Amino acid sequence: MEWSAAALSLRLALCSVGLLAPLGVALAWPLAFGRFRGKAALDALLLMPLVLPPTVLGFYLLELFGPRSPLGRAWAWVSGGTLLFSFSGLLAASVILNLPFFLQPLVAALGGVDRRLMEVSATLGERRARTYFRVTLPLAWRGLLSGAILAFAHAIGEFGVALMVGGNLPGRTRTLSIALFDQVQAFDLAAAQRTALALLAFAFLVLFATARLRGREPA
Amino acid sequence: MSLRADFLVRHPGGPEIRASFELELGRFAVTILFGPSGCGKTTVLRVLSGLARPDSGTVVVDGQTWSRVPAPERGVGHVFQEPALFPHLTVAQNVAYGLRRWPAPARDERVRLLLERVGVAELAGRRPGAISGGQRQRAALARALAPRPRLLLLDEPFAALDRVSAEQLKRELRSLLKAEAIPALLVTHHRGDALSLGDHLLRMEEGRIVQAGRPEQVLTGITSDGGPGAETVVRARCTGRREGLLRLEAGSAVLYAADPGNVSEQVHLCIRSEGVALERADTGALSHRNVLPARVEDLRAEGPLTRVRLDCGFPLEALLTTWACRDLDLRAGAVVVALVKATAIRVIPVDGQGPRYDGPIHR
Repeated sequence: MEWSAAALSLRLALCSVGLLAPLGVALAWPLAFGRFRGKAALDALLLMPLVLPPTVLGFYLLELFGPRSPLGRAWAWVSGGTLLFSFSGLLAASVILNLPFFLQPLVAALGGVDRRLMEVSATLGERRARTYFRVTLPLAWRGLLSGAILAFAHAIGEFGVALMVGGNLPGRTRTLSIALFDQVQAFDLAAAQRTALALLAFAFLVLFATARLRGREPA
Repeated sequence: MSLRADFLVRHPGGPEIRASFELELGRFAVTILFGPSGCGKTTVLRVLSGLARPDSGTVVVDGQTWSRVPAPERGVGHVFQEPALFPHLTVAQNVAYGLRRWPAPARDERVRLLLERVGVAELAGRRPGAISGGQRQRAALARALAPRPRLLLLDEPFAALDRVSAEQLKRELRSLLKAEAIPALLVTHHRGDALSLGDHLLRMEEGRIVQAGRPEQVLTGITSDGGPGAETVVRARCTGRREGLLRLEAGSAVLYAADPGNVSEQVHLCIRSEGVALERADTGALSHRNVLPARVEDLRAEGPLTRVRLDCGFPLEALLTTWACRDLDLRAGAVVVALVKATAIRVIPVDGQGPRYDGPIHR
């Protein structure tokens, strides 16, 4: 197994979840409780990465992060480097790609919290934002955890977008699934077996953990 | 301090609820919002606490219009039918929820005092899932009282409780509210609760407040609450006990009624018109405990029956067959004897012995 690729995948997944947590928690509230124009469009936009072919998303991110795009130029001005083929670019792509995996279970869990509890909180003097953090979010913790686990697992195994945005630079953007692709290309089937098995076992463990979490949800 | 409500709520495709009333807020008093299920009582409470917006009209408190005041800033406590405790917090944390801005020592002391008052001090560290329904509702009551709201709304707080827990809480509720000196608006469709807990009563029917006054005044003549009705409701003083009977003074009359237990000095008597018989003269030995000289005020035909309004030291109604009225030659002004079996009188104790609230309450 290629340990540097494994370490990079792990780092990418952890950083993705670290950024997704505040972003997802902030976005989940209007999605679960908000009533505003364009909510359906926002819903669809945030869910797009689930159904788009990774190469399509990768292509647009390539355009968006490119050195001639406004974002690419701004990034170069701030950091002196490029977003493309760097860990930062890979991380940004991973956050966008995994947002729906984080949001879906969280929004569903928030929607399942008894509305009366939020009303009680209001009559006890707490405004909506504080009620969200004191009552709603703590009661939706399973959804928060499932979202984090799913996003983490998906970030570990991402291939298409990672390859298009990050390329294949060992130690910088070469993740475990890209390493597997390389191993197969080089007919190193023994190494490919080990990498594939590690990813398989990991995916199973993650899904098993989320299933256990769901199973414990009160009926 | 006073609260004036005058608003209209339209439920899409449903009923229209119009409320117009005044509440005194400065001092302790329990106002009952009384009416059958589905008449709009809960909607009125939701508008008062800011959980629902009226389609027109508003609530004015001390000259301040509440249209744009959100629920968290109103200082109105709300106890729902279901306790709705926060399941992830302990009982003590639930009670402390509305006291976030209080300094910690004062907050802890307030929580301790309230848990003791509602009788769940020993459950402070438990989660709501680990205590009974009655205990949960007590904790919910303590939680709503904790921030010292200027008005407490109670939406049928006994409805989801078993009979024993409900009876216990009913017995303690009034003194609890009084100890906290918090005025309350209590929704109920049980006349017994209305009579024993209320100082004042607003009666709702089909989305309108149709009557306001003292509970016994308003509830006299009303039997449409689904419970055992009684056309005569009168306040009385219990002045003695004998052989399982209470001696009761109502107006200038003395009556005897079966002792339901737990009766303090002040009570309400509920007498069904069907339980009153009339005679033209005192015939001596009768099984009726209550033989009351009375004067006929007026008669009103109700199909084959006639409703007779009497004055026997307090206003009393009797329901007789028209045939019997003819035999007795009943007319307004006739002097009769009203016979009431002691077992036909329901005695409802009145909680709290303090002075009754007689302030302005409705327009």
